[in-house]
Amino acid sequence: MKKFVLITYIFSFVLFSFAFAVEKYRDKQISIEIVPATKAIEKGKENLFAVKVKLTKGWHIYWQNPGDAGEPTILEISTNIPNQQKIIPQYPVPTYKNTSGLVTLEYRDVVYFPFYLWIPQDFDKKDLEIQLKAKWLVCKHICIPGKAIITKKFQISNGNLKFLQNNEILNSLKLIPKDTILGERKLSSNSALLKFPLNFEDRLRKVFFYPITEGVFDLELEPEFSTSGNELSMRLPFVRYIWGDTSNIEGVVEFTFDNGKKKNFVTKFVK
Amino acid sequence: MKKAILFWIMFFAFSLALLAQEAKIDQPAPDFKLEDINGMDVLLSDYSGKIVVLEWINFDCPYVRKHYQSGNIPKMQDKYTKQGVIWMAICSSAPGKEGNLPTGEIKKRIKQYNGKMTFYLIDSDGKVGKMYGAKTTPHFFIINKEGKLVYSGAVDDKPSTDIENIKTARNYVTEVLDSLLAGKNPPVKVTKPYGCSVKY
Repeated sequence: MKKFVLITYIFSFVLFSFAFAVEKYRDKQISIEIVPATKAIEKGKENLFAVKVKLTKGWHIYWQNPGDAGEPTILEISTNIPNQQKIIPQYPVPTYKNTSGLVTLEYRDVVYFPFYLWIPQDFDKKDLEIQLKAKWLVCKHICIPGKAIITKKFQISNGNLKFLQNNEILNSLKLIPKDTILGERKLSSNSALLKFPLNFEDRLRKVFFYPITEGVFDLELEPEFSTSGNELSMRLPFVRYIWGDTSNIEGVVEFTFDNGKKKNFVTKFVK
Repeated sequence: MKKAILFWIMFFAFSLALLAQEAKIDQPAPDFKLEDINGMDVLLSDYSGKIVVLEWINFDCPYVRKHYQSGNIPKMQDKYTKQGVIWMAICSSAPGKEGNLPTGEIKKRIKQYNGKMTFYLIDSDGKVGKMYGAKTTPHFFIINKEGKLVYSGAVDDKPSTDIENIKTARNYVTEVLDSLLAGKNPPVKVTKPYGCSVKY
């Protein structure tokens, strides 16, 4: 009986957590598919797609820096476009969650990871084939790791297809940091002082920093920020056990203005 | 009377100092007292002069299962406890949360996996977990013979649930313990812990 339970468990674990080259992956906790932003996929232009991840209520996956626990969601795109390098889709700004002092940076419900593909004019295949390799850890009261290979073909438009937009993907672009700011960093024994140029007309209410660099900052403590002229300074305390690379600090900074608007930037800091 | 007042002042001051303690690398490991699954009180300071491993555990976490089902951690426990290392598995899962198992079930799992930890300790209010900054299961802390915390991090460098990865993984805990037993400085002090979040 014990052996039967064990075999059933292993079988269902393998079945649910690994799928080979399917068009869409789905299990009880998560579904993953590749979706185009427009119905017509066209040559000679950049086409927008997204990895759409839908999570069952209460379940979550993690950002590229998962926080204090969890594992990053890893997505890798390849195509049948000649000389096309592998593409990492863009990660929207995650949700900050503090559970009894353990901070995680996560996604819930539906999340789009957009990516652009430029299809050359001389692309001679009938279909555009996109392959996604995905690896994730989905958690609620328990955590279940999973991975999948998803392959989907898209017909190249001959001009007859209607140009329909997927507004959900277009809206999701608002959560993607577009620009990069270069800043300066000064390290002390227990914190980093990050400075970068600021050029906003609106009054700042709050600044938040989502470190892409893992294992350096204490995510539980909010950053202290101050502005002086056209410069913003932000002090971020270090985590108790630093295992990350303090010489290469990257992150997403989120500005919230008094009028409620938000802006996100990728930030890189040098000495 | 004065002596009694002085005693209580010192007692409270000492208790407050203990509460304020926070484990840090290269600093004395803060003391704690926890009950094990046999109802015995275990005090860390009773094992001063010994190398102590603190392993945060949750038998329902797939990352912990990987290392127990494969026999990886039980073999390490067996090898090092035979060399005098004290191995404390600590469960900080709060009541009703994943990994907070009845004592009988814990004993059953230890037997099933051939676990050889010296103690399996219950920290259901999470005080010791937070004192040490335990984030994941598993999460390892190693204390040297001088009572200093010398390692915090993962068991190895393969953050996956795939048992096959154990063969090619760099085992940090083994490296630290081997060097401490040989009287050398550990090759690593801090690594990225991986696994499920501690269910505080």
